[in-house]
Amino acid sequence: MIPQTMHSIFAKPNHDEASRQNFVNDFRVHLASKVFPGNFPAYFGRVLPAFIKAQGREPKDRHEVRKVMTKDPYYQLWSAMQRNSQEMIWDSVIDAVERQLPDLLKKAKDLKGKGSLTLNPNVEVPKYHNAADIHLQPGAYHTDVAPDDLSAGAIYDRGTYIYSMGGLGAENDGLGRILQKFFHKQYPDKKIERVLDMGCTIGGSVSFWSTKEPGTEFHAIDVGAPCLRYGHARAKAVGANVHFSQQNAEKTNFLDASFDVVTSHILLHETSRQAIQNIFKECYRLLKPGGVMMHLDLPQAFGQNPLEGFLWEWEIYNNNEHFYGQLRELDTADVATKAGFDPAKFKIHQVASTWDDGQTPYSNENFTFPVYVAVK
Amino acid sequence: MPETQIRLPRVAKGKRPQFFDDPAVDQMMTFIIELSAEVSVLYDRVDTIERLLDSKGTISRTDIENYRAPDAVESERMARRDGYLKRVFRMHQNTTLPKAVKSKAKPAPKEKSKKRRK
Repeated sequence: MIPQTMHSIFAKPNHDEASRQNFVNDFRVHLASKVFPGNFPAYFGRVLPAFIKAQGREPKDRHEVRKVMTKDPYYQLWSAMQRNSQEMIWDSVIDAVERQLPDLLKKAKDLKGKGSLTLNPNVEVPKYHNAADIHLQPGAYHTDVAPDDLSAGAIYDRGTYIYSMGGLGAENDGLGRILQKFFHKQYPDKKIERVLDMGCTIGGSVSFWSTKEPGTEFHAIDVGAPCLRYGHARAKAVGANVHFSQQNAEKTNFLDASFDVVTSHILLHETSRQAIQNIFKECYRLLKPGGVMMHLDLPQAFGQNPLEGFLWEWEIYNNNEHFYGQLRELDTADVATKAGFDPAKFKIHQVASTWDDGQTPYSNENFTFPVYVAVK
Repeated sequence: MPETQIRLPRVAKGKRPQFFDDPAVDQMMTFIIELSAEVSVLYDRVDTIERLLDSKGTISRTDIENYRAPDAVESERMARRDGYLKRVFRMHQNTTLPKAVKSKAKPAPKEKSKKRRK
């Protein structure tokens, strides 16, 4: 894996912690490259023929594939390994964060830099966020264990890096790089004075934007206080200028028509169907006329064959991504229209998962992210 | 760990899936994989000791704790771990391409986007 850049607020692992984290990373690489592919011959070699023999037809959708594939021993063993690898990410990272938390808290307090942090303890953590701990991160993004806690953010910074097997780049900000590049390619002449990033967690993406657009005012919101505290410290550590505030993207306190761009980087699939409708409505309210809404997210079920669709949904059932399921089938054009956008100005772009230096966040270089774009 | 140390949550909220008919098999998988990780950590530590002894002749525990593998060493370790993972988990890997299935059954259609509701 490309070594992760360890900025000044990073929870640096000691000798054995680093070794454990590296094992988990390499184990996941092994699973992705040597074990996961075996699901295809298992399906086509025995699961599908058995289904055809019994039913006289192929499975009609991913849900039917799920019923038979979850009984297959190859799939079961791979799933058990994959699930364990996910749990081990967090355990290996929490060791390093827990050991030096008092030191990290002090460092965050002493750090000098730009931007701001506004917390609001009255913000309720929505049900879609705390029904289960997303990606199995214990305590998720919102649990405070100490005064001015930032542990969830520190865990997230290293954990997501191992989760993506270093695929988000040395600065762990690949999604921001992809979307920033897409925006300028799409709108080469658009001036942006004010940008909002929704569901920013530790602000990796928006901090990248900020370092590239020093003349623009960046705001970033999330419901998770420890991630925002870490995000603010991390932004200072990497020289970004971002105003973080604790707010729910469904209803913010920003003024009408006050942003040129409202964006999110893989937020939508962590929220509910109603929340997505509310978020699109809020985007419409916040945008200036001619402003752009851009949400980058994970693939929908459309266009996938039943086996692909089933495998994509492993995370829903086994990695606490329970709310991804509703986005998989959502008519986002309809959501945008109901939010007030002109249907003619809404488009789903499929954006390549690479950025300028040719790095790619996932092993498949043909992988694309859907980006939901609407202009007000 | 001192008693005053802040303890972080270690278990994720949400039901842990069971993949095998016998839950003991799920638990055994965790034991085996965790043990594999610890052997790998131990191997890295031995490697650190050997490298430090090669260069310094005599070393302390602090020398070991302070050692961080340079990129070239980490690449060697990655290659070693790759071989290690292939050996330990050799009974469960398959990268052969799927064979096309010949059948007269009607193939499943790709999922289509739903029509927009009026």
